[in-house]
Amino acid sequence: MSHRWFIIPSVAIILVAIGFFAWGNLNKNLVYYLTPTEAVEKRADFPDGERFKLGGLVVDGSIQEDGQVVRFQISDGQTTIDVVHEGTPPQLFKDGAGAVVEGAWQGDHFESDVLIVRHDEQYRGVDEEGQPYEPPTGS
Amino acid sequence: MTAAEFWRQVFEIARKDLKVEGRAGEVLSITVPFGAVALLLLPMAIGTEKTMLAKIGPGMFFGVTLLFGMLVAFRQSASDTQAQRELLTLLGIDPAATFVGRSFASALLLLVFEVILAPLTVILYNPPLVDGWPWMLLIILLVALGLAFVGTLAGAVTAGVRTRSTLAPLLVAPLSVPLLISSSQVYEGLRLGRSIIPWIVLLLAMNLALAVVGVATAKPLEETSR
Amino acid sequence: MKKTLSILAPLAVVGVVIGFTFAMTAPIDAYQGIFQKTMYVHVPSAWLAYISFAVTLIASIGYLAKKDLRWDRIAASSAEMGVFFTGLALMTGMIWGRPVWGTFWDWGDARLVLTALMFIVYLGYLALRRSIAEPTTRARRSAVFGIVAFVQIPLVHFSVSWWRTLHQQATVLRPETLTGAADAPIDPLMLRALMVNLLAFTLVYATFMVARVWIAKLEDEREERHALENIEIAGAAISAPDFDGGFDD
Repeated sequence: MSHRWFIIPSVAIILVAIGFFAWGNLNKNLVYYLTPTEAVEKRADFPDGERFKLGGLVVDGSIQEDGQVVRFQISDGQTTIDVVHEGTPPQLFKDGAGAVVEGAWQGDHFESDVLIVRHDEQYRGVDEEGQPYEPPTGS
Repeated sequence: MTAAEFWRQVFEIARKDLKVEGRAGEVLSITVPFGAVALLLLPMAIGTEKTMLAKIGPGMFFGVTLLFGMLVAFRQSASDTQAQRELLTLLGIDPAATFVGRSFASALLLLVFEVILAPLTVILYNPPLVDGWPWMLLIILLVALGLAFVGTLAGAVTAGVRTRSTLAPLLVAPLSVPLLISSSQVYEGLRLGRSIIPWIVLLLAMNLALAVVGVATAKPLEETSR
Repeated sequence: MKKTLSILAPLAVVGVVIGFTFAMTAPIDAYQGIFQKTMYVHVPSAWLAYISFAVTLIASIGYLAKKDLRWDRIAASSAEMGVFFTGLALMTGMIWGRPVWGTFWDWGDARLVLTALMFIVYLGYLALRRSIAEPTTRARRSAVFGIVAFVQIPLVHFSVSWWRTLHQQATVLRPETLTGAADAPIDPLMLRALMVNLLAFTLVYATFMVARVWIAKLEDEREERHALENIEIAGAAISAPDFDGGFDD
């Protein structure tokens, strides 16, 4: 094969890049969202109707299903924002779940129509005491 | 063959392609207006609400670049007849040099396509100017190059096939997803002031991977008449 | 090939029956309920989709290196199987997603989006094969595209998963699961059922592959014979002059 001088080092570089992607632990900051604290700080840059993503943990006991909408609070431990989400939330959406909502400020609350839940990849049968397994909360 | 000779062949192939395209004028007179009409028609289908158009503008630009810009790589002047290919072989042109040269020529034409349509997008959709927007110039360049590489490869495997005009875009579209996502996510990342390095590394890796495959398969792909 | 097939086919049937039994007797998932059973079809299908396309890649490289049409037949057959399993993974993914996530299609699930893209890429590969009649040209060009497609898949994977997934770590390919530690994120009975089904599906894949490559070989041979029979003989187009009535006028 000709062009070894190009192919061999390039393949090495690509493999290093793929290794970096796979194990470089950079998946966290790639869904671009604002934390509640940032969203409040940058309130002026995002007027009502200006869409962005907001991410954090669903506050325990804050979920209220209300017909077509779901109301809940999303928090980063510092700031808490009220969210009104239009649509059916995914089944994995529950107290303490990590969630990213997409939408815009509407006065003092956030109106969203896209809800991404952090998937919990645990598959468990019912445990010895007959209690369903609880996924760990927190990030 | 020395490196200097190789790059001279690359340069000559690219120059030839651009010269032929200069005579045919397909990109400027057909592909660019086609892309422009797409940018003009889309708001008619999805509505003209200003905040929404501002939000989707950058995405529209890269979507149109991908779906319509890729036609630049399949332009008539970039497809050789059997006789032309044989002549290149007789002249001792390295098939890898043909691949690289042709890709560079297509990338340059794609850049022209993007440079004309970018201001049009800004006028029609009025997306907000983000901090660090000069990064988008690098992205536009990397997208042009990546699309040119994958388009040249798809053009080579579909050369002379009757259904080429639809088959080649079908082959290219799903493979250029990384170009589409990383370009629009870089804009999103800049808007929220986040690190965009992984996306740029991904674009570089994709360009490099396509260049490697193109160079490595150029020789076996070369058609020898029997 | 006939002999291999007569061993493989019954094995595959037995494997599928055992796999089904294990899947049905495994415990019911505490959260997703009975719907989680879809996993025993979905995960093996997705797994075999990757295996099939990897085989296509290897056979494509093999063809370019050896220029033997046998490699091309393997590449083509495996791509067909891959498209089938990708389609199955997509469908079961959507059937699973509907009750669990509330939608058939979830943009947040990177693997679903990636599977759909792979499905289209390899439909393109098969379309390319159909468009070229000449066997060696077809083999050469589809080999090149097979390589391009597979090289792009990891990059498409990263772009799609960074785009929407909040975090993603494979459940099975984790150190805890592989070592069978107590804190493995999957119930051991479920894992066993999954593994049995993976094996069963792999046997199904192997059976169909052997059969498909065999058919492809027969097709090629028939085409070759056909080509020989239909060779035009020089002068065949010239017919004898018709003297009756030809000279009277």
